[in-house]
Amino acid sequence: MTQTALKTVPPRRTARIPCAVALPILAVVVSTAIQCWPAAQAALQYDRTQISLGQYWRLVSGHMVHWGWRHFAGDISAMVLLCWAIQPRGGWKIIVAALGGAVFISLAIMIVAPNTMIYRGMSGVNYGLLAWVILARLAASPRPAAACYTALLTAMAIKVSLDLAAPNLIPSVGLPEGVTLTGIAHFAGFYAGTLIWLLNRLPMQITMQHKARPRHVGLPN
Amino acid sequence: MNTNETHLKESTQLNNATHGRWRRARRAVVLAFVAATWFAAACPTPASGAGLLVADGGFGGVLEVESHDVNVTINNGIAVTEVKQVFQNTEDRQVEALYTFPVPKGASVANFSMWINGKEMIGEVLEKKRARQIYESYKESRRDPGLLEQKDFKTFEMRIFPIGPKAKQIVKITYYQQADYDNDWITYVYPLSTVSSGGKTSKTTGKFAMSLHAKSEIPITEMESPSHGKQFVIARHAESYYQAGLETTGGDLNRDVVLAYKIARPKTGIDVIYSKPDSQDGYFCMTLTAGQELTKMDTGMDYVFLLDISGSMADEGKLKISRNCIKAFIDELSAKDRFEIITFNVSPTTLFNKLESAGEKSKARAETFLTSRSASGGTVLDPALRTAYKYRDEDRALNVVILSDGMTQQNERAQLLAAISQRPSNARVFCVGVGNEVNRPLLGRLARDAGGLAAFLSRGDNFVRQAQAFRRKLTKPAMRNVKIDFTNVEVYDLLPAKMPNLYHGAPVRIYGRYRQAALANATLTAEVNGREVTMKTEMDLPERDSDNPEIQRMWAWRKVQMLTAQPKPHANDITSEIVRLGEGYSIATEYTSFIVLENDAEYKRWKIDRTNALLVARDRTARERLGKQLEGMRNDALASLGPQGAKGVQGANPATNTTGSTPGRTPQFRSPAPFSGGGGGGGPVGPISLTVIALLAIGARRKRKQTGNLPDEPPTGEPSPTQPEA
Repeated sequence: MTQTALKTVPPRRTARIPCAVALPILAVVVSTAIQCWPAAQAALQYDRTQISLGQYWRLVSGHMVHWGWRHFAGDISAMVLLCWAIQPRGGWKIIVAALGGAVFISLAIMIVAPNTMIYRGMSGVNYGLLAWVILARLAASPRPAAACYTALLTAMAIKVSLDLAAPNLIPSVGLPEGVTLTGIAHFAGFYAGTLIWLLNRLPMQITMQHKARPRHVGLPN
Repeated sequence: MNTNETHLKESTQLNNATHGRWRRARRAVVLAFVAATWFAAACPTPASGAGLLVADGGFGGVLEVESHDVNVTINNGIAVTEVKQVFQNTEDRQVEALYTFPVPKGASVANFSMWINGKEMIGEVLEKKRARQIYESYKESRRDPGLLEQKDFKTFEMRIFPIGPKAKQIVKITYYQQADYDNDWITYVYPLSTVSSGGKTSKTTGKFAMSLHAKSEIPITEMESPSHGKQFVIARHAESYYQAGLETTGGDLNRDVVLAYKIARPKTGIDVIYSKPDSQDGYFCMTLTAGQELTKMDTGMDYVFLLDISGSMADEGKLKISRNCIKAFIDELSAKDRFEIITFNVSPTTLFNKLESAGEKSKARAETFLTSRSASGGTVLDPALRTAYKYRDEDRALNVVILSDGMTQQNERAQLLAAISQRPSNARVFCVGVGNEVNRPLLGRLARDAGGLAAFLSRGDNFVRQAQAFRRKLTKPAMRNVKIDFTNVEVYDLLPAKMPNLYHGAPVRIYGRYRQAALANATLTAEVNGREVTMKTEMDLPERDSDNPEIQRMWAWRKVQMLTAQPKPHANDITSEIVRLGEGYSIATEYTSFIVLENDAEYKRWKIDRTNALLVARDRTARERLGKQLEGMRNDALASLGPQGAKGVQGANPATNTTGSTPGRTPQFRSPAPFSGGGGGGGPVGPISLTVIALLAIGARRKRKQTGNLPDEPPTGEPSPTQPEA
């Protein structure tokens, strides 16, 4: 009886929401709340003057603020799709990558674009995640597919470089009149994603090399 | 199959079922998010109004203020404010925009323009009823009129119809006002804060920008913004010229913008500026500022503070600010002074019930008393005022300081004016109003009739400084029985007709007209502490002067104010004179409104003269001349920057500056970070990138389907949760 009872008991499982799901949910909830609350937009957007006065949270929170619902829609759907492409992998490192990328982008804007006083949007972070996804596919694909991913990576690198060099060349969708595209955000985001992926890949490469080392297996006597 | 195998199978089935449900749920969530975000993009933006802009289309709704640009020039003590706003109809229907905004203290609205078919159409002033009739007739035929009316003493209302679905509308309003001088500080307030806007979103969706140019004959030593602090970028271009700029996105339209600048010394004596159009009599504005004639009195004074704690004082934090004002004032009192505080709503309550010396102990008691007061009930000022008179001491001057919003009951006003006229001989009444929701006419009249002063403070102002300035006025004697005589010229229509007392640091401006060009003399005589004081100045009245056209409208506006303050302002002869002045000088009054029509032909059709179009063209030409002068000063300041004498530096054109700052027009920055005056940035991922991302996501899903597993190796290097490690 005891044995039968034991058989019917399902194995114990821990419910975990993957980080690649948690990240877009968090982004959607926070960004929607901000979008519906104009006072929060002003308090959270990237504002160069306020950051220099010590409001450092804007380095991260600015990426959750948008110029309007169209801008919001574009950025949020891109984030959701990217996380969809990544999940259920990614782990907590994807959150670290997104946050790290956000800070990196904001610092890049501060240094490279000193005239950009206010910045809003998640596109830079999205470009970081995009670089991450393409690189992950590239690393895992057989040669013909890898060539396609390499081409895609190159195309995206050219695209973000163009955004940086000529922000008006490719018309931006979702930005209200009077707001210009901040190309450095895309550029910095893309290369931040690449850099973080490479840094993350490094310990795994070392581990794999260690595992691949031939072991001496002695013949039975 | 043993027990373990059964268990494993069941467990695997359960896992697969759970994972299947989880995957489906996850997919549904993702699709829902994507759908929701795209739906949000496709749907109209939820209406979020700014200030009191509402869609009055019969179904409620609120419009958006997309941008709000304010350009202020203060020259010769007169501030010209130009406000350009872009409204956006976020709804899918045609609406009428209704925008209510507070009238700045002492301001005369001198222009209202609208952009129709891409062209600026300048409004014209008509008698109020006629303007409304014309507006309504256009509304019926769904064409483009605009109407600007004075709603009451403190608000203007602007109506624009129609604003098409999702359409934008640009409007421009210009008003003139006297800069608020107080000793060596000049304060400019751009009023935005109103009680009635409470509960509504008060942000612009786009840019809120303000630029102020202050020019002064006496060197300016500093400039600050008590309301917005370091958000303002302030630049000193020359000793006599400062510029300030503020630019934010999502600017708050529910908070006054206050800027104050200090001049090197108090401006004293008599200054006159002129305006003389061809074939018309001339206008002049004379500023009288008392200086050394008013020496500080050493004797102590008595003060009774009347603090209004009625329910209306709870709005806008008026009570809190008034309390702080009294505290700041009491802190300034010396041991020789005595004071009492009376709070009142429907009945008065006293603190000491006698005059107490201004020692530390009594000041502490006063602070506790003030803190314990809260706002409730109605306002009945008369008994409180009569109680205050009882504190009169034969040997000492009694100053009654009323801190109220003046929102008394209508039937009490006559009693109040009577109480003022029955005040004791050595008593003066001063009124302090806080915020924009203040009955300025009543408080002003009470103070004027009582030989005192009225001060109106913005919530964004520096109260300690204002309290100190107010106390300075009270501790110095006033010039009484002020008279001014003109010789060698015929002067008429002097405003104010009866000269008010002249207080330390608070100039009095006199507007008047003159018949012909002449070299004349003006002699001011007054009484200070029983002795007569005389001030003289020479006036070179010009044959023609087109530099200060603003003073023509300021004179007309003063005259309208004088007529409105008559005992029977609604009498036919008075209203017809107000209408004549309003139409002739193009100023919005209680009886005249601005109307904007679609084109010149429509104005002709209604037989409306383009008086204002001509006046605006003339004023703009004068402002352009001043603008060029200021630009020259900015260029000089720029040329002096950097190493001097280097090749190409001399006479360098600042327009070639490529530092990112707007050359010439942008101040040199004192704030911690440079502010380009623009620089709003963002980055949507765009359709190309979004397509790539979508393809990658679809690819990932397919691969998952094919393998029932993960699309590729773990990008993070983490082991797969479902595949055993090899």
